[in-house]
Amino acid sequence: MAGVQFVEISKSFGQVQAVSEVNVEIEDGEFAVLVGPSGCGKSTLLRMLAGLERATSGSIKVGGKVVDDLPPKDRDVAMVFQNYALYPQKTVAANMGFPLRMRGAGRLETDRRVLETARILGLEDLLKRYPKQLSGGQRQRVAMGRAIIRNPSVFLFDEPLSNLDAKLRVRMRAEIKELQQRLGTTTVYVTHDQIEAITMSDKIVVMRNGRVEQVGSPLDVFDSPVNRFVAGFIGSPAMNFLEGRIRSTDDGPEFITAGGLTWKLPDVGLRDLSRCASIGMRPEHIELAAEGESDAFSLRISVVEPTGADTMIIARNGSDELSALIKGRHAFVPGNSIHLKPLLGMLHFFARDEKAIRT
Amino acid sequence: MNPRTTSILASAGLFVLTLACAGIVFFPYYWMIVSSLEAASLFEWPPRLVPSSVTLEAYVRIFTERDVFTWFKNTAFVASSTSVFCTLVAINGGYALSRFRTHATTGFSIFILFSQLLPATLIVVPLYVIFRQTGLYNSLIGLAIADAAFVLPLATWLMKGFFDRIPVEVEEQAMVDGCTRIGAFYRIVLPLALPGLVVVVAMSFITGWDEFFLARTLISSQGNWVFSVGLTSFETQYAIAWDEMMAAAVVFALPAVLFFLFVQRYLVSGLTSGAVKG
Repeated sequence: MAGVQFVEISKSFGQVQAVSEVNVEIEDGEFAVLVGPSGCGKSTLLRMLAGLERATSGSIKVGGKVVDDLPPKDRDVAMVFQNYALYPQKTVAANMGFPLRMRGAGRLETDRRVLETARILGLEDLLKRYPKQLSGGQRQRVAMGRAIIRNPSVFLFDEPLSNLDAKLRVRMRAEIKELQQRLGTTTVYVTHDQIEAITMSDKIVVMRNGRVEQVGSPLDVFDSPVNRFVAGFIGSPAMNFLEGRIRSTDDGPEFITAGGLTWKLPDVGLRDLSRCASIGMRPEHIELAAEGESDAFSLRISVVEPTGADTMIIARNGSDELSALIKGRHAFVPGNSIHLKPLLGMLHFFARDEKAIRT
Repeated sequence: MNPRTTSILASAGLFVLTLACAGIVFFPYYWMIVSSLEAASLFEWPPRLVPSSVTLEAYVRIFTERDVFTWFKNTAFVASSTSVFCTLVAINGGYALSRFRTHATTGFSIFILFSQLLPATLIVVPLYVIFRQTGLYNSLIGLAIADAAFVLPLATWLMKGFFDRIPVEVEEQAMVDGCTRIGAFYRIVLPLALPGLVVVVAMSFITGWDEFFLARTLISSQGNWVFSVGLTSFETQYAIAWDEMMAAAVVFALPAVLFFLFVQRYLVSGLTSGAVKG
């Protein structure tokens, strides 16, 4: 068991800066997810931790020990790749036993632990098969078996679920999380899927363009995003943003949207609201309002998407667009007007530089 | 015509075509064997396809009166050395070209392909001069090096192609699992490239086995003759001992044929596996 620390880590490939001055600390036993759009440097960061890439500057510590000069095999980390990287010429048992054999374990000891690990993952019946005879989910499990069998200090996962179909992905998500909880091993998990990030992690590291945008617990990042990028990236369906500017009136400040809506700002206790350039609201934090209600918007319905339990609508007013998740089933008609109001405590305000405005 | 008749006709046509192709390929071998068993019939007209009398005299003569064993031994040595040199260099070179991509290596890959375009006749004179100066002239090892040099560009490219198809993650996984880079190469990557390896081994072995031009030029003493050079000794100023030459040719071809029978399973999968993504 060991924590992981990235200290001022940077990595460039020629002219391209893949990772810039990343400082992140992952505690012992924590499930940390690196999340961000493709090309944000999250996989590079993971590969540097594994020892497959060398950092241009900075330092990485595992269990308090600097590992910068250690080859992958001496870092006591186990990795699961996106394409599972099973050895095609070896059976499931040989695949899983390989890391043990490489560390000098005897045949008997290896066989015993392969069987033990196979039992944990439900692979006992597949031990004699070859990777090409397995389904995607089974391959995934073998790759995980190969990772856990030698009881490493840190597990590394590089988008392990992205090759699976949607249903299997949800199941494996739960399996990985359960396994991690049972073993209590520090885990660094890379994904571009923010749902995976929120559901699985103890700690989320949101990245963009090689930089860390925010680090925190999933709910913390969800509730208090530090900037517009994080706010828009985390959460599904994605947060709405209304662009506009603040105008002071005798009655207090008003927000005039780019689409021409005028909205009297409620008193949410923010001092610095004059800097506000956009307001963010999550679709699930928008509800139906009666006509003429003071803090409601009037928009025209463009799309209605019933999800079964709820109704998702997309409504527009000029260039303003809001999507709202309304509880229950409703017979909305596209083209009709609709009145919507946000839950006041759930609003997010962003300045022109995209940073969140906080109290 | 109904579809059934069409398909039968098509199969029949294909069968005849295959038979004809096989005939064209195999006839010279057949004629070689027939001529070795009965020299007299070689120049008869019309040719007699089935020999009237069969004798193994020519075989007995070549083994008793000629240095066939020495040729055989030398050829086997040259072919194996060529194969070993070539394979060792091609797997390492191919791996480097496949995995360490820089402008320099890309340029080098193209450069070695260009060297393949030069005909042997162009290189043989400078090679002769260099070999004389370095003491490699009239040595079997020297001949093996020269033979290997001619196979290497293609062999290296072949291996590069095979390594390109092995996902780099498998290798990285092996490194995380406890191998060094070299360990991952020999334990995981090379076994996966086995079909390619067999192709390179076979190709270089056969080149070393049946090469004539370099062997003729770079070998001077009779004791160092390889089989292909030995075969020409049946042709003297006044006569050609056709039956003996053909008998020797059969003996010469036999190991190569056996070798191919042994590796053909790998060869076919090796040569075609690049075509379809596995």
